[in-house]
Amino acid sequence: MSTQPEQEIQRMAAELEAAKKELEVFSYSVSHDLRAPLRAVDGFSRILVEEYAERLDDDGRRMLGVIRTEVQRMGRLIDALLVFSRLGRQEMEPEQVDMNELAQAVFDELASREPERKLELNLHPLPAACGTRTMIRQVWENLIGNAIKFTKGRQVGEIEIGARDGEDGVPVYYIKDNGAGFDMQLAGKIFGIFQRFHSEEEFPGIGLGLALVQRILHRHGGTIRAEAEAGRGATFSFTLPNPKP
Amino acid sequence: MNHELEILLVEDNPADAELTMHALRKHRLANHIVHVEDGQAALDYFFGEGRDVPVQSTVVLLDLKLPKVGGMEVLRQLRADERTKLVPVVVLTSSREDQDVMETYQLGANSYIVKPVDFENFSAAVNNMGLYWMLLSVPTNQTP
Repeated sequence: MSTQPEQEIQRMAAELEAAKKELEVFSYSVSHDLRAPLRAVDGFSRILVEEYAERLDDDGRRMLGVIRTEVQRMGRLIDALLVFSRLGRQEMEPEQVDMNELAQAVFDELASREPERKLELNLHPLPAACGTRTMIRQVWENLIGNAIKFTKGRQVGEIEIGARDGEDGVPVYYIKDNGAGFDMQLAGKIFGIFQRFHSEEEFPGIGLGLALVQRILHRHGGTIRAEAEAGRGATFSFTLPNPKP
Repeated sequence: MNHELEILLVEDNPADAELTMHALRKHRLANHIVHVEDGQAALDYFFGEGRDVPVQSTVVLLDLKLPKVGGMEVLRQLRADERTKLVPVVVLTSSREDQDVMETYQLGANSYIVKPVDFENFSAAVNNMGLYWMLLSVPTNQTP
């Protein structure tokens, strides 16, 4: 018996796959082709700074500085696009991941880069997860990295990491900090690519981390949500598929 | 013994070519740069009639996306010919993640540089190839 709905599903799956491929090729090519003109602006403006600066007045030199800053920013945005598009092409290699070990290792590594900061990690026992290790590491790097970054103004940056049982027994991992937080009205936008809620001077960044985290969790069939209050810290909760026994 | 380095720059993007030559000129390597803009011209440089290129002291800086004959094909032909199979080839690329770069290594490329070419990454590439002596003719401590 010919099954109409089944054919329909196959057709849609094929279309979706094609659209996904097209998008990946597009973002890869954009990242590549955008670099060439950028390289020219970067290179020639650098020559101006290095060899012609004394022939400009203060205002001219300032404007040249703006060009240099912005061109470097553009470069970082393009790099970010590349990272993002590469994530879509990366193969999934699910394995059992010890979340306690990973979270602790990532925290130690990131904290060691900020020796002048006072940081405290309260790490509760975490159930193991099942997923692609390098990607889950990226999740922790971004979430812990954010917690460290946004507690910059606190005397002690306090970070709590734990897990609780969610629906159907799927563990919900969470990370909570006492940092700058954000206005909950903006919560819907926080996972958008290149979305930023703070000024570059206050908290530098380009707005890629959480978009990347969400993309990774979606690829694992998981979800992420954020809760916060401006000035009172933020909590991010996420799920990954339940580890196989 | 003549230790002078000859550089063949194969690059069709005029801005990239100018920046590369500017960077090398600062270090007085510009007198020894030949710039061609497509793959065919690069092959002619080696195999053209009456040509006898001293491959021991020549480095090829090879962009991959080139008109007429692509960089990959240029590399293939250089490696296939007895006279040029050992000429050092540095591939120029836009991105560290470029899949093509891996392929060029399989074809026998010696090193690669993520553009823009500057004196630092050029020196690193030449050193990687064990050709550090090629830079001996470059005066040190000069302010650009």
